[in-house]
Amino acid sequence: MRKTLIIPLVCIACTLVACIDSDYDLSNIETDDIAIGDSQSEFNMPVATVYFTSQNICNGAEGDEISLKKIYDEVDIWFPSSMVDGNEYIEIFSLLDTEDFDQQYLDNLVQAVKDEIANIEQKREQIAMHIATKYRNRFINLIWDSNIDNKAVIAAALENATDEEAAEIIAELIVEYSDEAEQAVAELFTLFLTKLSLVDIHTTVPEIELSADVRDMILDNLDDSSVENPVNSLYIYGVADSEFPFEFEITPCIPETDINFGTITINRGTTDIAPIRIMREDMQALLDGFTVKVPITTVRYYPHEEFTDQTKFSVTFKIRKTGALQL
Amino acid sequence: MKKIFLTSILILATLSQSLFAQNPTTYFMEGSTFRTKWNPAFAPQRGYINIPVLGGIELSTNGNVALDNLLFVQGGKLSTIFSSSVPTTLALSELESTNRFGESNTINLIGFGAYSSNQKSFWSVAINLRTNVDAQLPYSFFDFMKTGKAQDISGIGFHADCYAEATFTHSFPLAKNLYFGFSGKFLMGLARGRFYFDKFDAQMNADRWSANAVGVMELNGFDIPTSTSNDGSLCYDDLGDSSFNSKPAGYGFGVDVGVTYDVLPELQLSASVNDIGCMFWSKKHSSMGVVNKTIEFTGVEVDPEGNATHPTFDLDELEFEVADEKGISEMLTTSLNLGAEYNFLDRRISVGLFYNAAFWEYKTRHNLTASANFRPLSWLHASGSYSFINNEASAAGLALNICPGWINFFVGTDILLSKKTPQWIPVSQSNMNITFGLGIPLGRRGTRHEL
Repeated sequence: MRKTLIIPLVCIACTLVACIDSDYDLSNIETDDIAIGDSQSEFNMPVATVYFTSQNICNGAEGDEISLKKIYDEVDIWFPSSMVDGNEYIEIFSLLDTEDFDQQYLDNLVQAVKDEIANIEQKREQIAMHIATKYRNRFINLIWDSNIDNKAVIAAALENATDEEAAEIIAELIVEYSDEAEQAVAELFTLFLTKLSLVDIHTTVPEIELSADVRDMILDNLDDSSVENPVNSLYIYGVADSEFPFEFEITPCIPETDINFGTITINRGTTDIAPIRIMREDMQALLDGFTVKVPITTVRYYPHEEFTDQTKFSVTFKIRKTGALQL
Repeated sequence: MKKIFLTSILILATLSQSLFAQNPTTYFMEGSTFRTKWNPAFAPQRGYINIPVLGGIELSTNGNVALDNLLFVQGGKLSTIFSSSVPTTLALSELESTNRFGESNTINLIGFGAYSSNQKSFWSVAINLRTNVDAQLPYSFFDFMKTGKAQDISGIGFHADCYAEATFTHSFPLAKNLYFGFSGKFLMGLARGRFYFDKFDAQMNADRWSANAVGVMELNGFDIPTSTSNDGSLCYDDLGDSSFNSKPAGYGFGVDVGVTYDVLPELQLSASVNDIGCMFWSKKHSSMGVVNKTIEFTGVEVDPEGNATHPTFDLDELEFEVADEKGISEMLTTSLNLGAEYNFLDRRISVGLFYNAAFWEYKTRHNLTASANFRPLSWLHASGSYSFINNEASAAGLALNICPGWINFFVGTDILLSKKTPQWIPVSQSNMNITFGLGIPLGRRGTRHEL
């Protein structure tokens, strides 16, 4: 009986043992790398959106808070309806006292202003009223410095007239003494050019309250900076939305980190801010709250566009994580 | 959310460690003491007393996912489907729209039985420990885990229970060739858990991260600590900190009924319905929870005046709020068994066909088994079977029963030829059964069938 039993039992035992696959040893299951996604995955996450209005961005060169809206309303009065070279915008750098200053550009612009004053009654009256209300004294001084007849009479009339009367006088002077009056207008016009610049802006984003689980998902498996072709990496990128009627350059940076986006030209509408790679420490600093500094340089102005003191400019920052989210 | 992921992994990892149902290969083994579990009208060849625990161990799994659908060998390591090293296309390639797995086990603590004086009626008594687990995870859940893309995830379900049963079984002749049997079972519930999520959505994109969970939790037999959440509601703490309450969590009853009929001396038909009954889980030791919450994060907003919003995104907010305790009554996992066996050569060889339908929590499972049975000697029985499982899988089984006068040894499995882990869990087979029993025969043989 024993021999009868031994043979089939040995065969069964051999069969059972032969089918063991040690690769599937359940005591050695790797559970440390459980994640959402895989090495090809990419996840994007909103971080913060900061809003600015034209009230935040103003020329404080004289130490006063000046409404940008008022500045550009005034510039709209001065600038001709049709720009130089048929463009819809004005090159700010060409007008300011910088290394890009372009005398010919300024001359062309002033000539365009003069031509409109001479030929378009509505423009002439608009400028005359503007001078009468804001620059009457300067204009009177320019009259005294000019070669026109009856300077004293004209000056006295301007000093005592109401705004409307003064505007009427100035408009008549522009027609009768076109060269001198136009030159006076041109000198006043250039006064505004220094007010076309914008001041730098900054704001503070508070701590971003993500739970420890979510923070770990983003931060846990990042590749070191020394890795040349990282699989698991973090990038910060963004989108700027501008309703302002000017094109300007910004160089945003986050002082708490090494993050500097470089110079970005912001157009009207939406402008993408290209992603830059950040390290774990940078992300931790962002999550703990950060300051956004945005130096601004005006590049172009689009005159005659409607905007108010509340017209917005916003920058939205987002995070991109490549690779899996570690659980 | 992390707890849910880890719980599902735990389920997967222990998929085969405790399994069970009943091994269909045992259905036609005359010498086996396991037959009465299929049909109380059956009776073994002799009375018996089981070795405690070793007298009957039955382990099995059923479902539509195999181990190699959930574990992958990558870079020399055995990784779960959720590992970042497992490519998405590979991970999702073998999954179904709804992935189900069930497991249960029975361990016989005490068991004995004997023939009556007429050598035809048989009675037996047993105390068993039974555990059942039934779970389902939708494809969308795995898709989200592997791709991170927003999904409409619904129908995540998990159900488990553990109870002790004391059974009395009696089989007796109604007529010459007709036997009737019944088992009466008293059940004592030890622990039960049920989680079900109607919704478990998550979204992660550049504008918004959000998670939405709608679900219920029912636990019986555990003491779970609670705490007050930020919004003032009373919630359950980490379920891992719960403690098992040693007092019975419920009571129940069950009945098995069955018949066998010898249409011809060579042809026997059998039918039974098992586990007709109910378990009542008491209100006293119950913990009920509900979650119906959405969390989202759209980023901080800073207005032109420098005023900032303070949004939060905390996955732990998706926690179960304490709901009113209530008693739960649940039907047992009833099963229907139909069999036909034809004997040749003075019952030394037989062929059989066996159908089993088990009505689980999330799906009814059907099993059709064809069996060839060999009884060359009165104490040596062997069976080979082939099962068609739920139109999804198949398995070849082998059973051996050695019952000389001094021992009754039984072993049966349907993973004999399949690739297995070192822990004897089939790698590519989604259904498995292992049955083992060791007992001491008692008394004379019955006279129902003479070899």
